[in-house]
Amino acid sequence: MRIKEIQLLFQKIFSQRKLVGFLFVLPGLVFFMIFFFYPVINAIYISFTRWNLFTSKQFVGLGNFVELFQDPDFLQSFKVTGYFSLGTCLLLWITSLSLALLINSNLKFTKLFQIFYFLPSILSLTVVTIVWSYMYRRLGLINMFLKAVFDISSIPWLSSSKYALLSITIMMVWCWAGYYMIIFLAGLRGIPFTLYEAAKIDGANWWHTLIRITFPLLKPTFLFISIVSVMACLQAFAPFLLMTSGGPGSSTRVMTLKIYGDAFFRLRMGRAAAESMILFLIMFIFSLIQIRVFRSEVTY
Amino acid sequence: MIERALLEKIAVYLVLIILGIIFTIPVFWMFSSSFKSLENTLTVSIKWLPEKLHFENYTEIWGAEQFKTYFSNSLVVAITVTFATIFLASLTGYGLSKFDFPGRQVIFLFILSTMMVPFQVIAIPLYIIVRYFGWIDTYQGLIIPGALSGFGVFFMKQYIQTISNEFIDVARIDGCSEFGIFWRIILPLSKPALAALGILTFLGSWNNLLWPLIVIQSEGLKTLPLGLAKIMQSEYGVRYNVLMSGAVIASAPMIVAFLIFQRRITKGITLGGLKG
Amino acid sequence: MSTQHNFKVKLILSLTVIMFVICFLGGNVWVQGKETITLRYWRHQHKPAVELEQPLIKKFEEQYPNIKVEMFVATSTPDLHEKVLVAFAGGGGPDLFNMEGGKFSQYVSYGLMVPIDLDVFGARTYQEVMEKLATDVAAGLSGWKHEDKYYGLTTEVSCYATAINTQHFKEAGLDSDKDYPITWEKLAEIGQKLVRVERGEIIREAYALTTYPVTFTLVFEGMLRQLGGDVVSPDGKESIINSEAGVKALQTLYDFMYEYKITAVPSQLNLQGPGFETGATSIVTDVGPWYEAYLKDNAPGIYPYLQFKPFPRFEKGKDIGIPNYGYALQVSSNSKYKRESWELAKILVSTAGERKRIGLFVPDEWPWPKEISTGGLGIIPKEINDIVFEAATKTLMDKVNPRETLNAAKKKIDKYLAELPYKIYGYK
Repeated sequence: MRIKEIQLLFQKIFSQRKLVGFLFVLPGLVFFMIFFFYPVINAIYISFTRWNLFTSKQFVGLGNFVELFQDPDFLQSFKVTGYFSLGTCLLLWITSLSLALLINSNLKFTKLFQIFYFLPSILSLTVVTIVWSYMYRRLGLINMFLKAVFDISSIPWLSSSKYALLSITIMMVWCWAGYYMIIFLAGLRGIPFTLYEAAKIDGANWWHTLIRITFPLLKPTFLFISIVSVMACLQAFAPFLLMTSGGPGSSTRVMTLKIYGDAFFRLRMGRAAAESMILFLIMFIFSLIQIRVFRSEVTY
Repeated sequence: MIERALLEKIAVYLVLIILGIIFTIPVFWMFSSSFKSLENTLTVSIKWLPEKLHFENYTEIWGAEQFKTYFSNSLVVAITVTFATIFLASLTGYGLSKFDFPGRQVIFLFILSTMMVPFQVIAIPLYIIVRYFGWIDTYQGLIIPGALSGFGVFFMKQYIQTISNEFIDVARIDGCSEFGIFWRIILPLSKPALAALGILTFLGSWNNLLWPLIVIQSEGLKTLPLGLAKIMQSEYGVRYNVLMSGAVIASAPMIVAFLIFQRRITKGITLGGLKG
Repeated sequence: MSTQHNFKVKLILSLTVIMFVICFLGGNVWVQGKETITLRYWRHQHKPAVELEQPLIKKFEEQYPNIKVEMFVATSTPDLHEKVLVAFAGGGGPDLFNMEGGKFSQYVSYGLMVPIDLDVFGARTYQEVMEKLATDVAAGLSGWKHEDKYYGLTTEVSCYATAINTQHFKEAGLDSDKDYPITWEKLAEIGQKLVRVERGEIIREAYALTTYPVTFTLVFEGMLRQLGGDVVSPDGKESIINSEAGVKALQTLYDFMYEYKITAVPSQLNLQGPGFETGATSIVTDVGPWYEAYLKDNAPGIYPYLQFKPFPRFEKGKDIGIPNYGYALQVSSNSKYKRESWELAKILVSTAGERKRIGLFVPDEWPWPKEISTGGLGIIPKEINDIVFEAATKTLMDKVNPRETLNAAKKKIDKYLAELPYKIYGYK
């Protein structure tokens, strides 16, 4: 009898639709609280301290941030991250869009090509880094191919500060172009064919069609891609760690690598936390800008 | 007129083919080099194919270099993380999309914001928490922090939102329990999204380098990316033929899964892309 | 029926939650339950050394049946360094670890280790401890001294010398004894006979540069000292790397690459490509006596042709070898089993003769005794290594004037030294 009462009580509580909804969300929420929000808050707190893990924390307020903006190493990593993200993203957008446009043309076998272009993006970035490190060697595939065809002497792809960042960029574009191509394709396929027909009737050539019809209608897709690709570039880590360790010099020391180095090698926890806050802020601001820029054009 | 169209067609095909070659050569090179002898890994004249199939590269990396351990670890971790993620993500996504309770929007935004925070920000505090639970150098430490992602919740919420409320209402009238509705109606209806999310999650877990690098110390628990990094960083000369066979082993499951499921995968990506 | 079902499902859910929570706490609960002690011993990878230590660990476990030793081998020394720091950061870490001397100043300033436990050796002073240790081990102890206390038991003291491939020499029509270049200048000459080129690319180097910042700095420092210079001034206050010695040393390496073309442009920095053990180079100067055991194991084809020679000198320079470096066993200050860890350490260093045999202590044969006694101590803080390496590679890879890069290096090192909260070992 008592059990029945409890059961009824349970039922009454659980039938509150709102509570049920909350209960469904609860496990996930608890998870994020423990493994995400608490670490973030802790990290924010650390960024206001000077701490090398072994002595006690010393509160310095905005001291770390002020120091950072006067530190040439940090400014360098800022610059490198900027160059890398900008360069890689631009190349990525152009390449993946071109691929998508090509695939979208009404030719046979495009499905097959699509598979080939997409394949690299399912490979682990670690695997890709390793294979490309091998190919970039002085006697590796790329140099020997260039020698055979163009008779150029070997280029120090990964050991010269002139080429290192470019080498990583090329590898990243190779790896991710297929992924963004797929998304562009979906966007392209959403454009009604009638629009193209109308344009043809009006006598537009392919360039006009591209600029006046395709681009504007791809804006929502492009918004998504631009945000995701910028985020991905800003967070890239494995290639910089394994291929060049931030070198030669600091020509490939992106912010993620600097944070890692400051935390684990120099044990400057407060500083590393401050740097990661700045990285986070950059990503946040970028997303806001991108959303705002595209907001007027996008309808849901 | 006709000639022009034909020329255009040929040009496009040519470009497609050249690009196709560029995109596949590195993968081909990886496979080919994995069978070569050490002398032939770096030669001035390009040796496209190995002169003889050196299977011993594979036996060496599987046994002596312990890739069989790394492989099974990667598998255990990836599968567990995948199932945990698709279950929790759909649970949370369902709650967020089909119920209205105070704070719903805020919670959703919070979870969404997790996608924007780079891992470096939480790496050390996360490590300290994991250490507090006694999970350093354990499977739990490797799996549990990755058991749910903001992207997963976002993805499932968007998809479940498109499921007609009629199904749910009918089920409620029939007296089905709330959890029963989730388990018997929402989940089966979300199969395409679950599959896509599952594959993407599996991919992410299989390829993850940074967190295992921090958490795992003993050989017996290392995952494939760690094994590859280990060979890359050996203090003595790197043996590229053996390294390539390791790379093949690390990527083989993904390539196979891709060839089988590629339609699902591309669908999943576009789902995420369009609904975003 | 449905309400019953409802209730059952909720029961299952709550049970799952409870299990989850148990899992949470599970880690701690299990750890406390054990009766046996687990000692964590961390070191870096070096197969012959690991193989030497394993039976010693077994011996220790037999003597102390309630202790189990968990040995963790990091892929390399930098990897070990990183793992140790991360572990300490999380409040954990090894009980005993085998770390190289360059990190000593940093670690001891953070209070990460404890001094040698005198009771374990039945001694009352450190002098007595040294008397009870093998000569090689005792001799290295001074490298682990801080404020009159000693913090490490030496497991390895070494320096680099040159290794040559006698078969390459023979093929080039050279006598590996008579024609071995005693000087850098002669190396340039001999090298041109040894190097193999195909279609304009070096396919077999005469002399291979190391691309690891730590080893490179040691080699470079050796060259500097031979020319009367150094990386850091004797009082440890500022850098003198941009002296004439520095410029000449760097120029020598530059000429090897571009003038005499006996050294290939490295493919990757911070990594070692296939080298001596694949016969891709005839001469290297970044290996110690431990290399012999390694080569025998991993490259039996090349091993018969290995011969050690002294480090090259400059014609008008000092007759000294490369700076020394060492490793020692240290016990963490947050270890719960300090005494037991020192007992384990004591056993691990008890076979100095064996260590010498595999090259962890320098052999008595030529050229080692002179090389190690003239080398002096090396500077190994990571930051300085990186700065030196960066400057050198800027000249070597990007062809920037050595004076410019070394001046920039001096500025950076000076800044680093000024901000350092602790003194670099070896300087007053």
